[in-house]
Amino acid sequence: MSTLDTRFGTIAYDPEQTIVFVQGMIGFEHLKHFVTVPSEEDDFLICLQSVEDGSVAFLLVDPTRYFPNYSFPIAEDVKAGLQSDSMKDLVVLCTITVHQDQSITLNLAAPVLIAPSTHLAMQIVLEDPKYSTREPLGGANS
Amino acid sequence: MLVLTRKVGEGVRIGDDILIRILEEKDGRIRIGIEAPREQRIYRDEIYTRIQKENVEATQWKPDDLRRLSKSLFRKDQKE
Repeated sequence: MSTLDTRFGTIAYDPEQTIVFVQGMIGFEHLKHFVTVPSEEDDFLICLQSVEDGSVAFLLVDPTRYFPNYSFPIAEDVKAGLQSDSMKDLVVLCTITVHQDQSITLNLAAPVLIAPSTHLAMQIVLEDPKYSTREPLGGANS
Repeated sequence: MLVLTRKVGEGVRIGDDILIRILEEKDGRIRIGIEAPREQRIYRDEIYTRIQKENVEATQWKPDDLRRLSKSLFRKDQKE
């Protein structure tokens, strides 16, 4: 096990379980290695912590829990990048944003694809206008 | 910013492996074609900027948000 200083304290992680972002999250291209930190609260919330920068962590969730019809075609270059042949081998997650007013939104426009078999991941952009970067997901008052 | 003037059919090369060609100009809209290695990410500027901004905001959550999040998201699950 290795340890990592994050803004939530020091965490232990297994380097073998590191997820490698082929190109990094958009805007965070310099950060390639992430680990998933189990949440104490619930297992459906996934915390993706950067190994290279302890201050960077994303919260992700399976979007189909809230939007059962959410699906999109996966381009060949994405499959090649993830070294994965089929869609069913991939885990699709979306990032959660907690806003200043405590509202919560889900970024359906830029899902994160993880191939568990290769530990490779990629954030892709869906240019379809029906997918919002800020799809409301309730908040303090909902 | 480097500024170049190009006609329809002409192009610009960036490095050894990126080619941008002007394909058509019609009613103030310009169609361009891009040849680049497939691992190269290519997006419309405003879309890239919006995702980049959202990703930065998505890292701003606080540990306290976790409990509230799982509560409110769990409640949402129950409704469905």
